[in-house]
Amino acid sequence: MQQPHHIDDFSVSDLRHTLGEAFRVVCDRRWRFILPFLGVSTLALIASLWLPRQWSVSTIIRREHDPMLASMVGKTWTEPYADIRTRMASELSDMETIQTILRGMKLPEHGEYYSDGQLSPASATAESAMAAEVAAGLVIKNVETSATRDVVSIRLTMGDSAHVADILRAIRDNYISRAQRRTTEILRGAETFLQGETTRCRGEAGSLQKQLFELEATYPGINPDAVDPTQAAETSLVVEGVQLARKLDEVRDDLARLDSGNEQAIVASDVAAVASGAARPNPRYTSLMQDIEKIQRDIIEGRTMKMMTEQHPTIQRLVASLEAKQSELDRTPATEAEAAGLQLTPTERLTSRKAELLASRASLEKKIAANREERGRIEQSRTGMLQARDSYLKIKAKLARANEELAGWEQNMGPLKHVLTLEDSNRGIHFATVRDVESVVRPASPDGRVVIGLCFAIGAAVGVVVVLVTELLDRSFRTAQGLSSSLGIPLIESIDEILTAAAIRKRLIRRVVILPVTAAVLTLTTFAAGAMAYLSLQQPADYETVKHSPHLIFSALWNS
Amino acid sequence: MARIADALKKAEAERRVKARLSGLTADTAKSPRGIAELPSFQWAPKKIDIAPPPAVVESTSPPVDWDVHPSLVTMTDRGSTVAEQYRAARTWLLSRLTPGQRSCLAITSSVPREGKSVTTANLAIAMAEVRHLQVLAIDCDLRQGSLGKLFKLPAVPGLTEVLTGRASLDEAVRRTPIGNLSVVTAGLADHPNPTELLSSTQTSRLFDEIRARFHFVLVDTPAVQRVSDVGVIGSLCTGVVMVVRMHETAAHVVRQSLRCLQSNNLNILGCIAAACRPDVDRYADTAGDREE
Repeated sequence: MQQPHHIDDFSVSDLRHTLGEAFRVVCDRRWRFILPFLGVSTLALIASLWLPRQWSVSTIIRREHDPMLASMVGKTWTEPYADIRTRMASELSDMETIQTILRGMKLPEHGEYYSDGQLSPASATAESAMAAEVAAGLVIKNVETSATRDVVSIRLTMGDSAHVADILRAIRDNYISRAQRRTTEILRGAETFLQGETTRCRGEAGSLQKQLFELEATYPGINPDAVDPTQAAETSLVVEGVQLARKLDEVRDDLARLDSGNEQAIVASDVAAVASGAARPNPRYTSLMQDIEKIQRDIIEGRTMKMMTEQHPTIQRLVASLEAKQSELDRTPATEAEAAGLQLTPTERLTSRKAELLASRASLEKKIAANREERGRIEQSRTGMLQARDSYLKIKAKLARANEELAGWEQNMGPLKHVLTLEDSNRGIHFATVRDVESVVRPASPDGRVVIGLCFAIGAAVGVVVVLVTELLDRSFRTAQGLSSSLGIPLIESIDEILTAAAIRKRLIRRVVILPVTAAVLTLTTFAAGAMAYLSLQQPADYETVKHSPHLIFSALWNS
Repeated sequence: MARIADALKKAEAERRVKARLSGLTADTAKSPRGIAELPSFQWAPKKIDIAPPPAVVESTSPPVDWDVHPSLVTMTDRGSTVAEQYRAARTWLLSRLTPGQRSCLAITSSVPREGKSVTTANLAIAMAEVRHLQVLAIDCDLRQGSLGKLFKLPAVPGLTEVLTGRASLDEAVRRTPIGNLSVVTAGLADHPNPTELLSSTQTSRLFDEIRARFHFVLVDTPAVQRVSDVGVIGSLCTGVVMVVRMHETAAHVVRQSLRCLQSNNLNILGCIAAACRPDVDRYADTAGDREE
C-alpha cells in the first residue's frame, strides 16, 4: 500500500538531494578545490612575509603623590599631583619632545646632517614621520589608581623593531626627569611661600608682643593671668595708714596729757624705766637694724635674681620702706638710757618731750597724707588699667593666633626641606619604575595565527570560488533525462564512458601519480611557506636562522 | 526492480523487432543473391534488387581474432555494460523501423570528438549481431574520417575515391570478419571541397545503391557546428541520430545544432547520451534487484 506523502517527505527528499548534489560537486571538483586552495594559500603565506610588522614594548611606572604636598595647607599645593596626572598623556605624546628625543638618539638612521648640525629636509621629514608614528603608537593606561599613587603602563607600538625599546626608555626617562623637575620647582615655590609666611607671622607676633609689654609697663597688673602687684602695695598702704593713724592718736593723747599737767607722772615713769635698765640696748633700735638689713637683701635679690627694674612696684615699695626705716633708725636712741632721757632735767625733758611729740605728730600726719596720696594714685592707675584691659586681651589673642600660624608654617618647613634635600640628591620618591622596558622578541601585530588562518581562508575561498565558477560555467548536460527533456527529442540510450586500457592507464596515471604528486608538492610548499610565515611572525630570530639554513626549519618549529 | 522492468521491456521490444523482421526477412529470403552477390556500382539507373534477409533471426558470434580499436567494446568486450547499452540502442532503433523499410541513419554530433565514429562503429557491430541484416557503416566525414582507424582498415579506396570515380563501390565496400557487416572508409582527404562532392548527384545515386544492397546503413558524418555536410547527408538518409557527449558539450551548442538540423527538415530520430559517468548508486540498486 502506498503511503501518502507528507510534506516533510519532500523537504527531506530535497535536503537529501541538495546534500547529494553538494557531495557530488565536492567529489567531482575536489581537485579544482585542492589545487587552487594549496596554490593560493602558498602565495598568500609567501606574501605575508612582506606584511608590515608592528613591534610593541611596554613599561610600568609608579607615580607617588608627594605626602608633603598633600598635607600642605592651601589648594595650590594639592593640585600639582592632579595636574601631573592629567598632563602625563599630552607630555608623553608631545611631538616636539619626541623629535628632540629622536634627534638625541640620531634617529631615523642614515639621516643627513648639514655642517651646522641641521637635518636635511628629507631627513627632517623622515624624523617628523617617525615622531608621528611614535606619538600615534603610544598608549598610556592606568593599571592602578588611588588618591595617593598611580601605577601607569606605557606601551609603544611601531614598525622599527631595532629602536622601539630604546625610544620608549628614552621617552619614559625624559618624562620622569621633566616631572621630577617640575615637582622640584613646585617644592621650591612652596619653600619660598613658607619662608615668606613665616617671616610675616614672626614680625606680626613681635609687634603684638611689644604692644603687650608696653601695656603691662603702663598698667601693672593688666594681665589677668598674672599676680597684681598694686594689690599688695595697696594692702600694705592700708595697713600702714591704720598704724600711722593709731600712732598719731597716741601722740595726740600724749600731747593732751602734757598739756593737762600730768608731767610728774610722765617723769616718774621715765625715772623708773631708767632704774630698771640703764645700759641695755634699745630693742627698737635693734629691730630697725634687722628690718633694714632684710629690706636691703630683698632689693638686691629683686634686682639680680628676679631682674626687677627700678620702676618695678616691688622695688619701689621696698625702697620707700627702706627709707622710712632708715629715718626712724636715725631718730631712735641706741640704749634704753638714752631713750629714757635721764641725762636731761625734767623741764628740759618735758620741753623736749613735747617737741618730740609735736614733731612726731607732724611726721605722722605727713605720712598719712602721703599714704592717702599713694593709695589714690594706685586707685587711679587701676582704673586706667581696667579700661586698657580689653585692648590688651585682643592683642594677646592676636598674638596667640599669630604664634599658632607661625608654628604651622614652621612645622611644614622641616619636611619640605627634607624632601628638597632628597630631590636635590636625586633620591626623590615621586616616580619609580615597576617594570623596565623589555627587549622585543616577536612582533605584536599581525598575529601569526590570524595571518596563517587568513591565508588558508583565502586559499579555501579561492578554491570554493573556482569550484563554484566551474560549476556555474559548466553548461553541459549532466543527466540523460535532462538531455532528453531539454532537447525535446527521444533519448535512444545513454552510453557509459568507454574506458579502454590506455584511457584507464592514462586516468590512473593522472589520478594516482600526477595529481597526488602535484598536491603533495603543493602541500609541502604550503607547509614550508606556512612555517616560514609562522616563524617570521612568532620567532623572528629563528626565521632569520632558517632563511640562511632551511634544513633547520623542523628544529625551529619544534622549539617554538 | 526497475532494472528488471527495463529488462522485460527490452525483451518485449526484441520480440517486436523479431516479429517485424520476420516479414522483412521473408521478403528478402526469396532473393537468391546474398551479400556476396553485391551489384557493381554504376551511374546508369538500374533496377535495384533487394537482397532477402535470412529466414531465421539469430545473433552471430563475431570472431575473436578481429583486431579492432579497443573502443569498439561491442567487439572487444561483448559482455560489458557499454556493449549492452549499444545493443539496447540497436533495439530501440530497430523497434522504430517500419516493417519492410530499409534504413539509412546519419550519426552526427554538435562538435567534433563527441563520439560519432565510435557510436557508429559500435552500433554497426551491434546491428550486425542480428545475423540476417546486411549492415554497412560508411564514413562520410571526408575531412577527418576515423571509421577506418577504428576498424583498422586501410583508408583507400574509400568514399572519396568512389565519388571521384577513382574506385568502384565494390572496391570501397570492405568486408569484415563479421559476415554481414561491411565498412566504407572516408578515403583520402584530398578533395578541395568535400561539401560539393557530397552534394553531387553521384552521392545521391550512391546512397540509392547502398540502400538497395544493405538493410541497415549507418552513416558517420561530420559535426554539425563545423561544416554543413550533415544537412546534405541527412537529406539522403531516413533519419538522423544525435550523439551528445555528457558533461562536456555545452547545452546551448547542442540546442543550436538541433535547430540547424530541424531547419533542414531532417528526421531526427533521437539522441544518444555518450560518455555517461557510471552512477554508483544505480549499480548498487541493480545488484540489490538481482539478489531479489
